Amino acid sequence: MGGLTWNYVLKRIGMWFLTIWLGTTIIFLIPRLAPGDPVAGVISRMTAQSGYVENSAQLINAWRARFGLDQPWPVQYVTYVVNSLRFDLGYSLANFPSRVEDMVVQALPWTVGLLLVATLISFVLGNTIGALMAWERTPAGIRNLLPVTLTFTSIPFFMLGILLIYVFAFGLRWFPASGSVGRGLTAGLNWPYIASVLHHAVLPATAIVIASMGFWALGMRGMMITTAGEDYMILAQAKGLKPSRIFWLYGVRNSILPQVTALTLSLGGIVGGAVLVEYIFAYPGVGYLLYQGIVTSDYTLIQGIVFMLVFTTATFVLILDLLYPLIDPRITYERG
Amino acid sequence: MTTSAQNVATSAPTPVKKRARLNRWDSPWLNPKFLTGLGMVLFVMLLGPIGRLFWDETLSYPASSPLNLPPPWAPGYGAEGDKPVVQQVQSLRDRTTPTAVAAQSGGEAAPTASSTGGQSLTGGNPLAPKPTAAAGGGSLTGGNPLAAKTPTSGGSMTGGNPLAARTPTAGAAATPAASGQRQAVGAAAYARFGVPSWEHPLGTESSGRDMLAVLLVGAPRSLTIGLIAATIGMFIGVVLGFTAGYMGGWVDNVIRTLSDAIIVIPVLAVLIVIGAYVKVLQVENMAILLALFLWPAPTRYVRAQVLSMRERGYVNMARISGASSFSIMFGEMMPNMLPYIAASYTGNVSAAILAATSLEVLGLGPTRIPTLGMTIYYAISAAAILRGMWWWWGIPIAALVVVFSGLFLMTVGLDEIANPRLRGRKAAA
Repeated sequence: MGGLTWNYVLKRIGMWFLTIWLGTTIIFLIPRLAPGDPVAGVISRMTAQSGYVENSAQLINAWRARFGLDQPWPVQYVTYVVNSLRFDLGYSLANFPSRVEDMVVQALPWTVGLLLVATLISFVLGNTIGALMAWERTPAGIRNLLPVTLTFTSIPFFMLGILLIYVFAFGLRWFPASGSVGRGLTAGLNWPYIASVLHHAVLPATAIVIASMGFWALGMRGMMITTAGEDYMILAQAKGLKPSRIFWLYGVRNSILPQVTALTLSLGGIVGGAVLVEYIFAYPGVGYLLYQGIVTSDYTLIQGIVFMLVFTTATFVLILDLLYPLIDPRITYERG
Repeated sequence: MTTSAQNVATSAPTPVKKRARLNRWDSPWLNPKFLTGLGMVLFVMLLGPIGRLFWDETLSYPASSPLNLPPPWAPGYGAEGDKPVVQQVQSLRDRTTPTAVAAQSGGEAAPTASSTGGQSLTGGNPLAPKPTAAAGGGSLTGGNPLAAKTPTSGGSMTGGNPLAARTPTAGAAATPAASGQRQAVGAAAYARFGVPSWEHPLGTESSGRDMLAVLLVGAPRSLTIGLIAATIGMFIGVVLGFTAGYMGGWVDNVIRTLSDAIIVIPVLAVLIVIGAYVKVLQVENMAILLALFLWPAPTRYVRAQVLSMRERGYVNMARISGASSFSIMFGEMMPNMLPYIAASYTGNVSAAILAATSLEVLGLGPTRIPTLGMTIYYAISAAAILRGMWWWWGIPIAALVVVFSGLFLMTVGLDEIANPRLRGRKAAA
């Protein structure tokens, strides 16, 4: 922990702010660079539905004033960034009275739960498999079996999700195809509810785990090969240490570090992939909410969710970065 | 990884057997994984130009083909041989047409399913898999659905042909009320499974697109998006990476900070915002948008490589000899990094295709031209998974899996080319 200097912490927090600021800026710019006016678009949809909207010009102006769109860009921009940082994401366009942050907060636990568990499992499993693949003492049977688990590496989460639904939900009927919990169950810490939640989470979690496991395994294999050639491994063997001790505390311990870096880098991709998994499984998390926002052209909802995704990803990366010196005590951040 | 490598290695010709040191087949670029992956990607790439010679691509437009026709290799599709099945279907139609059931459920499962005839079938089709799934527990996955249905429909049948077995039930649907009617609907739908139509080898989907044509048109297009996006992103990344690594100082700081920040942002999320506003995304626009998020990874990679190479002997030598920065960067360093860059490139192509497909699967892709992602989107929104129409989503997924696996193999192979340690390990194992 000696490596965790104030300088480093401040730098990382600065990066965190920069990322979030970039994210909000992009989200702010896109609608204004895109052709067409969202408000006019909403009104024209209303017109298409009801045939005629009275005083549509007035309505447009009122809405523009309501959302602050009549102000000059810089003012809008500052208001937007400040509001975003205060988690004031505005009202949902499609379900007007409800606020975006409330909708996101309702959906967030499902996503975080699913993603956290799935990523942890896949990280642990993948790294173990990768380490075993590179290790000389791995029994030949396991050694030949392991690469099979990596065949799914290149398949995206959602495609695996479709296959899993087809086989296990449609074909074998072992697991439900969609949703996160059975009907008629009271939420709380009672067993039927928890069991139902777990039962529903199996397929989406499996899709994420299987599809992302190989990524970790491959990286780990490469690192273990490098580590195996190090002098301290030979010394550990010469000392007559138990193979399991050499494997875990000498091999894996030293190879895992770049994997944590890879985790911080791939977090954005995992989040994006999970959006699709939730969509495929109709899992009521943030990703599914995002899909509903797309379907209903709920721009504030889409922007709010994307801001939340950027925010959470950046925060997780920050946490991982701050934890990094704990995992790797050798690193000091005195310089750079 | 090892098994696949060995499989490939045994099939690969000379380089494994001859161990001559200065064999010209000994080039590290003849990596079996790399070549296999390249072959898979090229195969999909060439589907378009070559397939055009054999297959009519206009069939990929909506309503150009009958609706929801399963491919001929679907379970129960012409299983008993083509000719008898046609006759059975014919007899089924003859018997069912008088009854009210047939008229209602689209019993006119004409073997020559025309576009209009297919139209009426969509009404009966959603019901079709349900009886099977309920009774046989997903008999569509394994075995012949018709054969699976035969015992439940009673043993009063004569012929061994499952379709013949179904015929009386469909005809006698008037006697038992509800269940019989449902079975008749199912039977009418299954009758279509017997329609031999080599006109649509991969089946058709709900808006009357021929899946083979969709595959031929869509697969190369999805690949093209990835190639364009990755090429642009790679170009930006290589230039920025070289600049950052070679110049150092504040330029390096700016570029590194920016790439570190952008790499964290979930690409798909931002693309979704863009896609939601820009309703109609063309293939080229999509590729350029993707490229905006693909440069940070190669930038970091190239920068790290340049930093480690900058102090090598041959670079110092070139510098002392008075070579310009440009020629040092691209004449001295670049060739040494080629495998790295190539591995990063294939990885980026894969990432771009994944992002593009993901956008399309959410319904934010180009709607006028069929792409693989849009096909999956249509299939999902039409509940094709739960209707058992696996060919609808299965074919685009299979094509994408070939592309992704090919690119993945190429990346792994290129990694081995770039990093001899991985190679040496494999030979030892």
